[in-house]
Amino acid sequence: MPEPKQTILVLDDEERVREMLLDYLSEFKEFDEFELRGARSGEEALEMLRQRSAALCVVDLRLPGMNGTDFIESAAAAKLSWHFIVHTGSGEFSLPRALQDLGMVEADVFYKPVDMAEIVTRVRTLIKERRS
Amino acid sequence: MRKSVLFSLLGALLITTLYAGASLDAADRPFVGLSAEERKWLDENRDSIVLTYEANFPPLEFRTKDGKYTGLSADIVAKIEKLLGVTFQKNPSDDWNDQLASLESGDTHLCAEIIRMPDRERYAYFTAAYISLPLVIITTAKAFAGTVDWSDLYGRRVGVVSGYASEAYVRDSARGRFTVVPVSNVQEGLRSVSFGVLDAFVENLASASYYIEKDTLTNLRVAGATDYSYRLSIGVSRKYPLLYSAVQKALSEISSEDIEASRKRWISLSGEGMLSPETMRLLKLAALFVVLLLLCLAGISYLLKRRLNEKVESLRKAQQELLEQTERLGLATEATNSGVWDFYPATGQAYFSDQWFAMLGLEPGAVEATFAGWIGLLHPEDRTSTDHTLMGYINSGGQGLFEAEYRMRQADGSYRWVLGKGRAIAWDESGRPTRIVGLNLDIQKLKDVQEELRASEEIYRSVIQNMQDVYFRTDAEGGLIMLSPSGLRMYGAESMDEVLGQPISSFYMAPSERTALLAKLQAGGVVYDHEILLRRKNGSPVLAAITASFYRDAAGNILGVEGIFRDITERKQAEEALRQSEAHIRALFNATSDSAILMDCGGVILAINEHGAQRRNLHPEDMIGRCIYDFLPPDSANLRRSQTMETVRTKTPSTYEELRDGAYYFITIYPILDSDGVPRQLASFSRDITERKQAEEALRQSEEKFSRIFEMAPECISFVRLRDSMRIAANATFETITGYPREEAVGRSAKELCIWDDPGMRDEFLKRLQSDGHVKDFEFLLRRKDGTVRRVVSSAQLVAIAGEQCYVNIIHDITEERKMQEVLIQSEKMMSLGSLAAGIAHEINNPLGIVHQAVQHLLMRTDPTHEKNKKAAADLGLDMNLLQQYLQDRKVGVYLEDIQAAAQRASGIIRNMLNFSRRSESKRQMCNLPKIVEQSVFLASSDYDLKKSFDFKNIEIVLDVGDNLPRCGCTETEIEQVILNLLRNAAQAMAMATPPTVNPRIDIRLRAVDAGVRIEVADNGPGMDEEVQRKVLEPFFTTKPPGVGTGLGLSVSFFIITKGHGGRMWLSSAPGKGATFFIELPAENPEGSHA
Repeated sequence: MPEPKQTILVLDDEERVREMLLDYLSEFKEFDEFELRGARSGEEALEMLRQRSAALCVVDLRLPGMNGTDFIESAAAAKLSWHFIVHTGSGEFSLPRALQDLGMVEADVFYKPVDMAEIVTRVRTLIKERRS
Repeated sequence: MRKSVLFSLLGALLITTLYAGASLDAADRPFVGLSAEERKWLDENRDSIVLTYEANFPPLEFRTKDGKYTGLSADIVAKIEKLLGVTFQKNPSDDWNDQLASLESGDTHLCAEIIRMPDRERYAYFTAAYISLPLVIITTAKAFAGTVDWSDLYGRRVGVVSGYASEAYVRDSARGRFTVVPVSNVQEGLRSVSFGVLDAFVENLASASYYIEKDTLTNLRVAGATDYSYRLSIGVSRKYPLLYSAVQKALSEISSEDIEASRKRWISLSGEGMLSPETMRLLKLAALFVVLLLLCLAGISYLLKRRLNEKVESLRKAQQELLEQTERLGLATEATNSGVWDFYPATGQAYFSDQWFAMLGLEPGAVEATFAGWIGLLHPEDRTSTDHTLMGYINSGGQGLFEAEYRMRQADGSYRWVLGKGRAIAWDESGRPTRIVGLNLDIQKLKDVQEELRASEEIYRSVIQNMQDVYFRTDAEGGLIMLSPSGLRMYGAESMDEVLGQPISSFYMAPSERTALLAKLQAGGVVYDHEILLRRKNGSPVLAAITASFYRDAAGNILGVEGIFRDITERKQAEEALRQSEAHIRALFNATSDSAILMDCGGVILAINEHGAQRRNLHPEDMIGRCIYDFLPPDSANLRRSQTMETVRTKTPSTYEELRDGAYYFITIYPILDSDGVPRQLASFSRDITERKQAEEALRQSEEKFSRIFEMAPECISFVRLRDSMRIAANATFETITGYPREEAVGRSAKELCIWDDPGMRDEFLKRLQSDGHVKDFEFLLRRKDGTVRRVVSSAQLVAIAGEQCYVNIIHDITEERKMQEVLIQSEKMMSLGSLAAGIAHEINNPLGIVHQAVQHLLMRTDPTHEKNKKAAADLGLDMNLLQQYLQDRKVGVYLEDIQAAAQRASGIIRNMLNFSRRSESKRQMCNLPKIVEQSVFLASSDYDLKKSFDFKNIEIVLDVGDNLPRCGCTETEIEQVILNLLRNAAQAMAMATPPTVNPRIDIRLRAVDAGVRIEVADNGPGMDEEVQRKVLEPFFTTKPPGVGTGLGLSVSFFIITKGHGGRMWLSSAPGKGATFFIELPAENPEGSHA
């Protein structure tokens, strides 16, 4: 039976940021196997992941309702996603202990305005790790 | 033999003898040769011829013990009397001059022995001298040898009787050769010589020899004769010439033998036992008589013997009885000291017993035994009444008893009371008593007692009459029988009749009181000071105190009540007043909590108040009479003693303090002087001043505390007098803050020593102070002595000090505080700015991100190599290369890059800004100083202000980072702030320099130094002069125009480096040589203090 497509989720309350990032990812063939989905809030994202888990989530920290860090923790706890990438507008962000325990590192943190090519590189690396 | 014959014979014999003897005498026959007139005169004056004689001039004339006129002259006189047939009245005289005077006056008719002298012949006739008595010199037998004449008496004391004729003669004879000493009489003169008082005495032989013999002055002799003789005559008053002639005739009739006989009889001097012829004759006669008598008696006695024997017994018995009775009488009269008198009224004669005389201390016969003699002894006051009583008795027939009391003169001249009691025992035919016999009883003692009694009675009477208290007596029924006049006055009655006899109970307001009094009397016999309420006549009451008792008769029966009472109204009032006064004084005495003691100079307590005794847990009664020193410990006692002595000595109060038994006492001792100003008593007052002392100590400590606070306070505290702005006090901090030493400031006007940079502020300050009474946190600029200005704040308050209005000013230097505040404000600003910035940054990042992402998409979608692009182009039949060519020609790519770059730049700025402003999250951590410096430079170049005004882009920034920079702990943003500030200042300085700096350049160097890193920021701007350099780090100091800078930047930077990071910051500059700012940060661990 063919597995359903894995998801790569982009979580950001800013619509253009979200859509442009998804558009960029869609330009790369290697991500064709993934379903590229976007959510505007942590709650919505968790809902979607419950339907179908993700291989990776790109998470904005400043969200309405639940903030990005709490989403990551919740999603990781429910094993809804393998990897997470933080994409934040805050000037300085240091990974809290909880996220570090999930295996996240500095390289997983990107600051707006981001160079999307760098994010793609990181996504590629993480998925490769996942595969191997 | 018959008695009568016997006695006749005896008598005859006797007569014969006497006659024989007498016949030897000169014939005494009446003389008949008188003339008729002479005889007539003599007959007429027979009984009244007075002869006055010297009572005491023996041997010539003198008076015997029984009043007889005797002496040689008396003999002559007797003969003359016989011849004349008269008897003279013999009148003795003690005074020769009186005698002469009475002769002159004629009271005396004649004197028997008187010397004819010229002045006497004036008033008297003198007969021929009948005797001549030579004046002789008498001396002691041993004093002189042989015969003495005047010359032998040279220088001697020679006596002579004063007034005698001899005196004149002796004085004449003296002629100054010897001292003439008058004596009063012959006896005295002789005795004086005998005792040696005088050497010689000159007097007539007769008197001298008489007294020599009489007084047995055996050591005297007649030493010599004088020329002078007493030629004695009979002197007759010229008033009686007939008498004179008669006497003369009679005298001449007397034979010289008779005179000689008399002379011999009276004057003999040999005195050695030889008898005078006269004496011999008498003795012979006596012997003859005795012999004859004995012969007769012998013959008769034999015959009478038998008769006598028979009669002897009866006679003896009678005699015995008589003797007994006489004895009894004698004893009785002696025992009762009573004298017997026998008086014959008819003749005036009397008999007085020896006891009669003895009672008066007189010799028997001292006065004449006559009525006159007795009367003469009576007290003059009694003579009349006694005489009256006696005459009355006699005249009334001498019935019953004669009784009279009279005083009689005693031998010593005092008077004695005598009771004369007698009875008539014989009467004459007419019934007049002829003989009264009686006794004189000594009643002196009785009289004395009577007198005492009278005097005593007088006293008591006086007492009763004059006493102010009332004496009363009632009878047994209670009726008033006696009342003193004072009682009458008290009652208000006029006379005794009103009150005497009234029942005593009627004088009481309440008769029951009398009953009570009686009961008390019954019980105790006497009442003392019992109070009763009496009633006056007018009904008003009188409060009285009565002392009374029963009085009894001899048998002890109660006769009534007697006593004394007095009006005690006043006393009661006085008692009440006294009681009140005493209560007041007692209250006062005991009110004080001081100990008050009245004592004598020895310390014995006379009075002490309650508190004084309570202090020692005693009652006043326990302490009175004891010595105060007994109640004190030895040291206290000694101190008190010496203070007491000081008080007594100086007579002024003394005070002292002492600590005793843990309490402080303040003691004052006052002297109490008596009327002579001598301290007799002392009053001491002792106050427990422990609390006061404690309060004083507390005050002192408090004062010390506040004094310390004042001195040590870190604020400047000063007191200024409002009136004249005189600074009256300042603490040590005054100098610290103002720079003026205390000595310069205190005592000077605060206006003068002006610490106010702006005097107008001072006026404002004072105005506010005066209107509100206080000022709080009044901020002003203080100009120190060295001219520097500090920002200070003052709080002041109006106070009254010693009656003057002043204010206390507390000045607090807030310069540093302000800096701090500014720093805080700045940081707050920055913080808020920071959070604002963070918010902005966050918001901007999203659109920036979109821009960036969009450009990336654009670049990707124009990339001809991208598969999806190729596919899309192929679908359209678009030649991608041609498209790319077009885009290139039109420089689309360039513009896309521009957008990208701008977006990058924008985000860079945002990022930096976020970093910079996130102070609160900024921790002290190991810093990368070069990076910080770079960021600062970046910031500076982004600075809008810099750009606009100072064209930062034109400035060349050179960063020179040294090697081996140690890691420093710092707060990144703060260091950034400092570097940024330095850069800005440099840029502004260089831009604003005139002329503007050419080729402006800022060199930033980082070097490693000992224990740290040094950062240098050097510009090549205009530099700063000395003054600006000094002030440049000061807060609010700025060289920029107003509004451009706050003047805080450098001071805050300085604060951050030094206080915040423990580093150093300084500068060096010179005008025209630019300025270099140095920062040194210590290489420390991040755990430094965060400013």
